[in-house]
Amino acid sequence: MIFIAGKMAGLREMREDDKNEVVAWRNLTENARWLIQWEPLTTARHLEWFRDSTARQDANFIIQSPVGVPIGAGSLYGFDRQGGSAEWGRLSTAAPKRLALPTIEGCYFILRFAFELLNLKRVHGSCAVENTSAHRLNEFFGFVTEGRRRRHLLTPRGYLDTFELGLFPDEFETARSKVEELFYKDGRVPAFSPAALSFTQSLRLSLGAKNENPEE
Amino acid sequence: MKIPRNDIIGEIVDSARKTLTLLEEEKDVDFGEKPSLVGSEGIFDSIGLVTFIVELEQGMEKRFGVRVSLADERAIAQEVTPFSSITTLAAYIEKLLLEN
Repeated sequence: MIFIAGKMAGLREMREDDKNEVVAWRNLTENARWLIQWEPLTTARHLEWFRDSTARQDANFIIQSPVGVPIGAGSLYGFDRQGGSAEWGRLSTAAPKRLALPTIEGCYFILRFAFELLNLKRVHGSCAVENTSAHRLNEFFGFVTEGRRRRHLLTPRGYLDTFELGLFPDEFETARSKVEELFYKDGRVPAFSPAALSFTQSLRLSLGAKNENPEE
Repeated sequence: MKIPRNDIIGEIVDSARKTLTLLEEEKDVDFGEKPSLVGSEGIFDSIGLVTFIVELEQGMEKRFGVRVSLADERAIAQEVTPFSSITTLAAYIEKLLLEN
């Protein structure tokens, strides 16, 4: 069931039967070089992760083309249910550069999902300092670089420094207009479907609605 | 509307140069060689491409008085992505202008 459909991409929940695509994407050199992946991901390992992740109530998404072909994945995870925050990432796509525009629209949907439907107060993430494309992507959506962790990630290529990034709802509100001017010149910004609302309820994560002030 | 292919290419190159300046990219690009825009040998990463498209759409309007929308379902439906090279993008814009 589609959560939202845009000009170049749509968003839906990741399912077990997406395994072949997700494994293939994560093993692509362009994606794998930034992941802590010591050996090629296998379908069995992916399914093990997927079941654990689903049990933890992570929100794992598939970005698909307008005709329903899966083209990428992304997640919201590590929810702090009390504080109303989550991490975003695990982005991978079928062709990182060729599918740049649909992927950007897909990322925009994931962040809207985080703030509009989950009422999160903060989304955070990180990327390797050398991964300039990912850093630029985060900053495009309004993320602020909050710090640098030195030799934080041990990868098959050695230790990497990482940037820590954070995004508040008002920062995303400002940044999202750039995406909307690009994709929705007619002013028709897509809305989430009932399936997205139902998925949100299943996650039991509608934090802001019940707890605007975490200190209360 | 018909705009000569070379004029469209001229606007694409100008917009690409402006984008590289905006992004503070110190790439030495030989535009005479009609380089790839995206892909492993491409000039732009994803955000570079977005910035470039915005520049190009504005440039087309300013220079030729035409509004083109390059980021929509038609672009993704093409067999070869219009953004793969300056030549494919010029051909795609030409097609959009003729359709309009």
